[in-house]
Amino acid sequence: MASSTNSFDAVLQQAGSLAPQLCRDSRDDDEAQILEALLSEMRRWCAKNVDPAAIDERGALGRPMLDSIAKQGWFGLTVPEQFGGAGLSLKAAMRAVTELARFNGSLGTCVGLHSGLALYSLINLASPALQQRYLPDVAAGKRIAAFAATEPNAGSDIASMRTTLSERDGTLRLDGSKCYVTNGGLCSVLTVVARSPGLGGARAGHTVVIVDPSWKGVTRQREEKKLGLKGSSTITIDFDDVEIPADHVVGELSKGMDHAHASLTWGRTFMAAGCLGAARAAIDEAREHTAQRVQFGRPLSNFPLVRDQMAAAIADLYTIESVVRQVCTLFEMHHDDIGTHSAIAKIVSSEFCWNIVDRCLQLMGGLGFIEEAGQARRMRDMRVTRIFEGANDVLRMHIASSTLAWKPDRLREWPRLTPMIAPELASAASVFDELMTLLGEELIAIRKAHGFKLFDRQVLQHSMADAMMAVYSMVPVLLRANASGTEQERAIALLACSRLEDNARAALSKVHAGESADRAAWVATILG
Amino acid sequence: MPRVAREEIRNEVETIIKRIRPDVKEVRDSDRLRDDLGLDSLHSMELLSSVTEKYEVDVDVEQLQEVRTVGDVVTFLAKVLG
Repeated sequence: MASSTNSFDAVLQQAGSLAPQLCRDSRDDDEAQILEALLSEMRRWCAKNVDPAAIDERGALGRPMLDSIAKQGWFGLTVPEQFGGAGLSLKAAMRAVTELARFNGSLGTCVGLHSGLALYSLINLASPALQQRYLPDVAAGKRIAAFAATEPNAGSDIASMRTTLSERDGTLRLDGSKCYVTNGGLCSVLTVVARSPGLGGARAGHTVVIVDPSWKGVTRQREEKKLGLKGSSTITIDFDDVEIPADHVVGELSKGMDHAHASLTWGRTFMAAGCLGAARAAIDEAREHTAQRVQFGRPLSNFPLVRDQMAAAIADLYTIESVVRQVCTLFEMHHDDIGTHSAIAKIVSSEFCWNIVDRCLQLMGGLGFIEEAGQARRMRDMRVTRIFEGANDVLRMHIASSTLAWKPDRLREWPRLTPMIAPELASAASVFDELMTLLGEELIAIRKAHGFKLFDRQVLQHSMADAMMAVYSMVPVLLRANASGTEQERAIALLACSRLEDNARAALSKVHAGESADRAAWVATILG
Repeated sequence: MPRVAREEIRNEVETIIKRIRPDVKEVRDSDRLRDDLGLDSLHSMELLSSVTEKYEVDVDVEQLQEVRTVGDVVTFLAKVLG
């Protein structure tokens, strides 16, 4: 059954130790110095080498750029130092990917996917021998990594995959096909999740294996033509009787779904980093434009409505960054299960980023719609973040259903934030405490009313997840602003909390009302 | 709450599992929901949702923390409905 860990308890109980970590991009002062130098070099290199229009036009980052990234060592951000990598913490590596994504979505996706989802198994589950075989080349950028789980008939329902690992004549064989493999056309080390009936004593288990795409039986298909991220590689890879050496199984046989879950949890954090970079760039460009563009005798940035919308975008950016830093910190603190936290970060970052880019495009008026201005590409590039690495709608169901496993007494009594928060932020902390009480009452009522039958109430689950995410996001926003102490940051946090409160109250109101029978009847009449 | 025979519960659980996972041809009591039948957390929830709906029974979620196998599900329901 699901983990009984209550996601709110996990952060509120550790608020004291979380808060200082939310104010920084790195694990400690030593890492901060390394990160500062790295970011500075990334900015210099990207300004010189990254031409987003040219990347889209050729439909690839291109070998010279990949070689240059490799030379810089940026394919080794998360690889432990003993294998030649930078060995950065999740938080610092995420910050580095944010910087690359600020310049270009395809670039951020290539390095972020490689550093996160694609390398999790090798870094965390593989044997020392397998690590020694691959990770030095990975760190040097000689091997780019990819992760393959999705199939034509196994998207969000990943357990129904058909790609199979079986044992024949004492040898493991892989057969099947994986689609939408990001970095697929570039990779030379591939993590594959396959069903493995009978292996490891499980009739319907799954197993994770490492595959070298140069092996006999591996075939790469053509590059997909996509809406956005045109410079990132996305292909289908076929496996026809591919011999898998026994030492290329990572983790335990038959426990592949657990391992895939852990990989996706890590990977979603890097995806969130990409959203953060894109949102930051969108805001920077819109601010520059509104400061220069004069209409009715004054710059757009002097108009109250423009100022309000720009400040709201900055507040939402602060929310994304705070939530992502919280997930990274929980991971570094070896929290037992960050699955729900990373799902929340993934949804919040992808949806807030989409809204920020849309708002910034609007603030740039007609220019925003013109390709050369950059917002159009950014909008195309970011659209997929609400889909890949777990579609947001399905992740919402996981978030809502996870509450069924929480202990009921922990839904009635929550640690209060108000006593921990400075007077300048007390009004928002008080709202948070009130919303937590309301949320707890609603969750108890839902358990009583539906129990496991909640499964069939998808519309209700959607609203539950929205309420939970909005309230949850207030915690890192408040803790971070409380610890940082600047007046501007407190104002940003208060505006961010006000917007989250609006979202939370709207969603709680829907949760309280339950699923509308009228609406269900309309839907049935419309769709038959 | 009507008494329901274990056999009937067992058959119902098997029918629901085969509906959720059409590729499952055989269901044994010793089968683990995840490792042997390939039911992920949402599938398991669908199974329990269907069973509790069928028998109109309220299940305390906490009691299900130890449910791992088909036999565990049947035994639990037989106890509740017995």
